[in-house]
Amino acid sequence: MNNQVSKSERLSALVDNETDTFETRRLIDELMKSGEDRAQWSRFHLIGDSLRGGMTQVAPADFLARVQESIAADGPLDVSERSGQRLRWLKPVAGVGVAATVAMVSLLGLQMVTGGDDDAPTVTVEVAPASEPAETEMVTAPDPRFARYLENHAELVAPGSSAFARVRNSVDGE
Amino acid sequence: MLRWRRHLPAMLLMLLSWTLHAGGDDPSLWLERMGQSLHTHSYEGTFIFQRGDRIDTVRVVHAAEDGGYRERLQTLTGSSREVIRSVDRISAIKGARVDGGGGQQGAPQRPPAIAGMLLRADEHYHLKSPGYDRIAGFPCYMLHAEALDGYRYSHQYCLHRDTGLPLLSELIDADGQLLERLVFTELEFLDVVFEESLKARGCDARHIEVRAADGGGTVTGQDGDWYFEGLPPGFSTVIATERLFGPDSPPSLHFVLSDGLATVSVYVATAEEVSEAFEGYTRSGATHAVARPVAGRQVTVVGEVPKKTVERIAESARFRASGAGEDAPAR
Repeated sequence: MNNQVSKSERLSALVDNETDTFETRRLIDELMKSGEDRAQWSRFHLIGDSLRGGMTQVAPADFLARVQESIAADGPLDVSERSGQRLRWLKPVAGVGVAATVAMVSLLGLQMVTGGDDDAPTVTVEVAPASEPAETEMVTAPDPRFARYLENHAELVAPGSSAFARVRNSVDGE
Repeated sequence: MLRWRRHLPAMLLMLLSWTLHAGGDDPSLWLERMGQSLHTHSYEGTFIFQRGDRIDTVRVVHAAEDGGYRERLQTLTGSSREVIRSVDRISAIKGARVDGGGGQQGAPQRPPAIAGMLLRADEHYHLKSPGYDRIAGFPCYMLHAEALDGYRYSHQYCLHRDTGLPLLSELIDADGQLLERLVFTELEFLDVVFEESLKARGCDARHIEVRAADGGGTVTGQDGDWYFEGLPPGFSTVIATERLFGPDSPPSLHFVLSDGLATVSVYVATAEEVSEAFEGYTRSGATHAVARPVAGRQVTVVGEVPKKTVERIAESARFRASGAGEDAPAR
């Protein structure tokens, strides 16, 4: 039982971006191995999105019912403990093409869209501390392994001009 | 000929003047200046970052030092967020070094003529400048890089006249829709950046240290070579290295592909056992990512390019086992 509570808290911390790098990696590895953990991870995102209050603007009619089901499924958990605090995003993933000077991803979070085409995303998970409504129609968390690749890309290959600079300098260095 | 020589001093003077004045009005030179600006100028300022219909305001202190830079970023809107980021450019350059041709045994194939490819970025973008504008109180050179096909987005910049720093930076899709915009509202260039101003103010600041040379510039596939065949036009491998995602994680190969402006990462998980390969697609703002198994490995492609570009790059990934005469099938 203790282990279960602990796992929930750790997953919640992951969703809230309150884990350190090592713990994040470990949790992602654990998520890979356990479908149950992944389901709970998805529900935590769902809860976070619902608390941000934006989802009902675009969500399907039965969405709130599903949110309530999910919340019920997870019991009181630790969401209520932070009721006065806006939930944060899962993991600062980022990447944004324009931000020539900054790691915008890490700072502002990420909105991962899964499935569908660019024009018609069918599944969106908002994992940023956003104040704007998520364009969610249904919730299925993107594979968490995407997050670390997005983050790594954003951190190591600074997008836009700095990438250009790095490329240029690698050539100059020859 | 004589006449030409007579005018040589004047021409040299003009050339010098043109260089001093920020590369004249040649868009490709301005692009180069923009790239260099981040590593050569220190500044403090506030910018607005717009992604879709979301807008954030961010405070930045940026210190260029030792060929790299350190910066502190803090959100001024919404929940408070702080990032301290340091980029060791020297090791980045070391890790990014590209073979002149041939490559070493076991290393992925890398194109020999990278420089030429980069300088021809305007084959895939139409570079033009509508002239000068003014942002955050500074005159800036407007530079439009219009994508010539659907494999990349268009970029629009307004570059600080004296330093080349992008005061405005926009990413625009094929329909003309704005995907992302970063624009400074206030900016001050600094001669000295005090250490105090780069320190985290809050205890929950996120620290990011970019050490780009984890692989030391060498990439050796465990049992063969990875390369690309049929990349989208203009894209080429510019960096190939090996990367560890954690102390216990097996190394991944990391390729960086570029068309001169857009950047795409390709990760190949080299684990012997890809226990649970995943296949899918995700998007965050203008960043698209696709994951799929290729030749029994996990290949993940991430970049600020359209979906079809990351998909085609994933399809172009090839594996050649050591000693094998034939390429393994892509999927």
